[in-house]
Amino acid sequence: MKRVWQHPAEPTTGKHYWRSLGQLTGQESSQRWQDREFQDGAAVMKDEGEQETSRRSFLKLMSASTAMAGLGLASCRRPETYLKPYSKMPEWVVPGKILYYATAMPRSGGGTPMVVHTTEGRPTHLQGNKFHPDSNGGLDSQAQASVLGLYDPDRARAFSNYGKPSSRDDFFTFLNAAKKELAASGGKGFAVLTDEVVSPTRLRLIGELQKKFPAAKVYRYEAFGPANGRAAYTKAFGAGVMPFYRFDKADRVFSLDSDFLGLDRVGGKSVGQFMSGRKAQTSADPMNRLYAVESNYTITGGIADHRMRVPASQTVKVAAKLAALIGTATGDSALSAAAASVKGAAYNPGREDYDVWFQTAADDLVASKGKAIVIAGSNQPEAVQVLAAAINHALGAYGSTIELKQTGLPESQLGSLAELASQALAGNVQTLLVISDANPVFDAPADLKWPAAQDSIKTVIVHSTRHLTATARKASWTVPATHYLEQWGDTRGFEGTYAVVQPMILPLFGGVSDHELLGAFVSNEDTPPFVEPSMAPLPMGTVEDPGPGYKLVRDTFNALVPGASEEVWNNTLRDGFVAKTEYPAAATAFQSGALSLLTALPDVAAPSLTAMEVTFLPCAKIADGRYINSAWLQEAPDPVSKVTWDNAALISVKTAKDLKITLAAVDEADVISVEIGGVTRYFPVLVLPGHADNAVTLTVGYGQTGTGAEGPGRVGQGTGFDAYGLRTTATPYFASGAKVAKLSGSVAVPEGGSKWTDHKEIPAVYPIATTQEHHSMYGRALVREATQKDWQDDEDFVMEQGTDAHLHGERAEKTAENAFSLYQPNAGKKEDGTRQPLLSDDLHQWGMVIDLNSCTGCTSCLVACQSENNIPVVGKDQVRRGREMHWIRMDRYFATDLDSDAALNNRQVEGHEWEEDEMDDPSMLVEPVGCQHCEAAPCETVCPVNATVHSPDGLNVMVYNRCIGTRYCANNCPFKARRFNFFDYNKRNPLVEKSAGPLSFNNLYAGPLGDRHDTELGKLQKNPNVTVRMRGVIEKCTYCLQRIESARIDARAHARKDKSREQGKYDETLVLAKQDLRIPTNGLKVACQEACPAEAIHFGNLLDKDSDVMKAKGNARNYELLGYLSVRARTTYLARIKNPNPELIKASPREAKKVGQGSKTRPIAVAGSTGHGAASH
Amino acid sequence: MANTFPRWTNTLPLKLLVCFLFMGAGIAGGVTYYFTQKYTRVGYMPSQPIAFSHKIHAGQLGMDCRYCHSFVEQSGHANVPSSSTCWNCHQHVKTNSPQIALIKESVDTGKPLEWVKVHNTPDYAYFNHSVHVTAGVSCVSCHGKINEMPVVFHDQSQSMSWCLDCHLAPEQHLRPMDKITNLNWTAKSEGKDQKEMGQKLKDAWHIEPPVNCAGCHR
Repeated sequence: MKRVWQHPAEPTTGKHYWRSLGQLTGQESSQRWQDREFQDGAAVMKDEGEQETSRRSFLKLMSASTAMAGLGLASCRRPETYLKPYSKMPEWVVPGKILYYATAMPRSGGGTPMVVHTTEGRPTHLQGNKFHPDSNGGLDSQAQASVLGLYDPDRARAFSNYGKPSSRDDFFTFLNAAKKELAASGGKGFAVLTDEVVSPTRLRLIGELQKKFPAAKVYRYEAFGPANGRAAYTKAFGAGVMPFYRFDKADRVFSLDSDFLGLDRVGGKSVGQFMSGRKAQTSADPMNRLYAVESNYTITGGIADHRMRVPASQTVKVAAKLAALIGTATGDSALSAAAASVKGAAYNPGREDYDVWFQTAADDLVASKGKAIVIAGSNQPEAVQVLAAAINHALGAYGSTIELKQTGLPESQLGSLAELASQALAGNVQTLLVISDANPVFDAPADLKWPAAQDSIKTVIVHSTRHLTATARKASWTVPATHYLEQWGDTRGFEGTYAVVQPMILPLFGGVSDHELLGAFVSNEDTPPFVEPSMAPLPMGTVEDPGPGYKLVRDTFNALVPGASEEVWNNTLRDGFVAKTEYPAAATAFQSGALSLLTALPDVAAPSLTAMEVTFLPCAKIADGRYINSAWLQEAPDPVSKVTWDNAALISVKTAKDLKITLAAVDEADVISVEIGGVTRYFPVLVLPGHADNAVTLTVGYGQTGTGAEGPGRVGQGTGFDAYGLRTTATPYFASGAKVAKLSGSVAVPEGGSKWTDHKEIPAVYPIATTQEHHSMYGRALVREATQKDWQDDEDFVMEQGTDAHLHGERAEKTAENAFSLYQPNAGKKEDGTRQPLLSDDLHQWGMVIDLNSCTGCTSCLVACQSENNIPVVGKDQVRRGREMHWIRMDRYFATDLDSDAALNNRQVEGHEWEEDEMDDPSMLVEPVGCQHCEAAPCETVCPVNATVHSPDGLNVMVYNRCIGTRYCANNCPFKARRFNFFDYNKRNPLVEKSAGPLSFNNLYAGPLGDRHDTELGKLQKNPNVTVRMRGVIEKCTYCLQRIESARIDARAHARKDKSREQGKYDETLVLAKQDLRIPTNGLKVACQEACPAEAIHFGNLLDKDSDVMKAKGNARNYELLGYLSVRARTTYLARIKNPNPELIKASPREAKKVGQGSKTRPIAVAGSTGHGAASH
Repeated sequence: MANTFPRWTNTLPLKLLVCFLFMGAGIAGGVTYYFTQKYTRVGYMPSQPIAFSHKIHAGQLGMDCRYCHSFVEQSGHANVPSSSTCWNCHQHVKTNSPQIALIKESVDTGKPLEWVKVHNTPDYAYFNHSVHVTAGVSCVSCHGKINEMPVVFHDQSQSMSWCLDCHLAPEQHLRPMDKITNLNWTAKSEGKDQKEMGQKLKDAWHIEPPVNCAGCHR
């Protein structure tokens, strides 16, 4: 009996959800992605016309290789393999078990405390350290991917002197001589350039260095940093004072261009704290409300209940408007006066409801006085920062929702890069020590002329963990820095809690840590020649010398914790931090004098088509460019634009139309030229609905010159386009007056226009890899949402949306009736009990709930999954074919309201003329989708070789050994959650282009003749508990089966062994209860759940009613994707709830349309419907 | 009249014969290799860098398996002892043997000894020692009478069907938990019936070995 689903028609009123403009406007290319998961050309080389030929040649090759295999039978014998036990067992290591160490990743702004998984000495996976006060256990994707950075073969690994290979001994001989010279002159002409990393030992050593060389100057630079906020807070509260937001105590949050849930990291656990106000177990639970004003569409804007798009340069005007309203309402005359002094009060970002929007928002904030936060983005100038601080002051936020703390960091003693450049150009610097992962030759503002400044310094020593950056290539000496996982060090969390960085592994390439290098400068003794660390165990009773780095950190620790015993130190290493070492509270009040800087502000004209605005943002993937050689980050799609392997300019729909740019371009992007002040750069452009008009967002860090390890590394080479060239000291975050034009034809490559240099000319269209249309599941209300009021009005709203509306009321009945599976719950059970029935495990049944109300779409789960499950990287060419292997895909939907009177019958909404405003002001929802572990899994019924089957505890398991690669399962998966290994991605390097004669093709297509991965280093990261998949098999989310099995084995082994030894019973007199073998409640976390900073993922045992997951499943917002298929998915979702301001909805039709009743859909009669989604034969 | 069969057919029988001979040889070779114990490596007895005798250590001296394979109850791997474990005794015992010199060298230099792997589980199968030895499965069930082997050899086939034989009927192999490393112990030696005792242990301890793919393949 063949059953064909007649999918119920989608309700055509209410909200319409779309993934791309192509889908919205019904483009053929988008339709193609919806219809076919695996695109044409699966087995062909680049030219699809060669299909027949290549199939024939394939057969030829096959027969030849079969014959060869016959000749080579002798090689079938298994090779002799060896067991190499440790000569002396290291402490704590149990072969085969993961060993966890606490450490921290030193980063700009504040270190990230983490727990490292090591297997036999190899760090393989990272997770947050939830015991540290600055962490809730989540970990962002960039920190998550840093473990891959440890094994990056292109990272700094050798000393060099003017580009020639050198040695550690040579360098330290030079250093020993140099420091004597410097000491003689008191450090005249000596400068140190550091980054924003907060490390007490580094600060201490810099202090000692300044004492030893009194004339030396210390500078600090990072391309993006908290400089504006710091300057503003110094004015408003005094030097060293910084605000720390308590989002969990805030009812109302107003963001002024701040992506505080994404790239603007303002705290170690601020995402979790903010989301704790949006968990909503019942409709009566209070929820916080977020207003966002922003230029680019960020994930913070996606979470916002009300969002307004405003160009970045105009944010100061809307901030002044908010300040004026709040000043009046709270009677804060200083604030009103300051707001009035900001020029451009007449500004309107093109919204008819502009005034009422701000009036209601301001009223709302004032009504929540003492429970409100206004937060300004780190890219906003001092004026906006000060205004936000003044508004917070008026709202009584300080002391309640914002804590001021005295960081005590020596701000005033540190110079800026601009000062260093002018000193260098004036010939006042002879020796420069760069201890930083910043790359000023590439990323410094163009007007500083940093390359020239660096050239004018006689000796430049660059110490960096990165590949040979442009800065390092111009240096006199390069010193390879150790990765933070291989060094002793320390850092402070965001709020100051001291954390120790401990080494997991000896330096792979023999680097030097920043502390060791500074320590060598400070030390009065010469650094002795290097002795290769010996593998030989030490005689009994002696302790290995942990190196100079250890001593330096230990000295700092001893000063911090006076009189600390060895035990206290050991406990600190175990915990990873010292409690109660956070920054002290700052006892300062807001000084309204700081507002005086507002009067001097120029009135920046609103951007227009002829004078556009350009915003520079660090990339969500590679930050300011420092992670360009991380393949995981390069391939993780940007949370909003979904671009991989490149950066693209982002513009709004209206601007795109004005510039005649193809709206729905996804695979081939138009190229635009951006000219500011005579400098022109070229970028492929993507249209991002919700972006501010007449503005372009450029993400920086891409387009680094050089190839391989002599450039950005083998992963990063040739990716993306440089935007730093357009940036100046006056316009670090956004620039006005840009001329933007679409290229009508190819143009010649300009001088210094990096990246395009490998093209002969700049093409008018550029192939780009975005994943936004890949694995598209049509519509059918995959994401569901309602306002809090709708939920209160109708507790069961989640079942009335989308196609489930057809099932409503008789849902349970329908589910049972419609369930069809070869595997009925008791299938396979034999009378004599020799076979287990399905789902027979009465201790564990696994399930997952993903809370869409908390999920921001940041992709940290995606990278964590990649790290835990050995998921390969496939390269840009394969991503363009939709073959990315991520087990979790992060769907991003835009939503617009459909008029109920527009009689629309088609999913594509053909014939509907979308207004620009509808396309340009959508709301955004995200949804992570992996394998749903359906109980009646459609994939299982179609596999011809039983390679995907069900386990008794409810997992849909994949048996790689059986898989023959028919891909039937993937075709039958309604969630498109299965991934196919088209090539041996784990063995063959997908990032190499090969050529043979006139043909040029990707290395993967060279088959067995292709290059393998360059080094074995990548293998060291692999999780030994997960099979590394090969070519030709399907893979997908396993619910981290290895973690489940390991927990289950531990629970069993402990119960049996411990009980038997406790009771002294070894035979059948030892009677165990079945429950003794159960994994403790919430005793197991899967990788994505562990990594989620918003705690949006719940995983656990469905048979344990106390488990997190059962609590989440009991939520009224719980729904199943495509529930009408009755596949009984184990992964379910909690619908998104918005908390819009009812006053604003009343006052503004536009907001009402965006969030109001539109989100609730009712079933409509479908003509000719034969029952609700019934099967036909 | 033209020949019905062209000339080349004259050699056809010979060609066919040669062809069949090759095929026959291939099939015979294949069967002897793949269908016999050779394929499953039963009897595989490589020579080790040090002629360590389990017969002396575990048999005559009666050392417990867990003295050397110390993590067998905690970890999936039953670790091969570190050189320093050997050295605990051998710094006093048989110190002038050339074999012991190899251990000393390893202890002094930190260079590991290279033991040849006898039992080799494929990478895609995740066998876990700890869950077996804490569930009443003795070492002897999978490794044979190691205490009588001067040189360790592959005793059981350790193929997937062999695994499943026990997973489907564990009572054949279960024994009291204090007899796990007593390789000479049998149910008979205590006058018990293995199957009957095994069934009792299975019920009391809830021994339900997984027979689904996920139990071993990840």
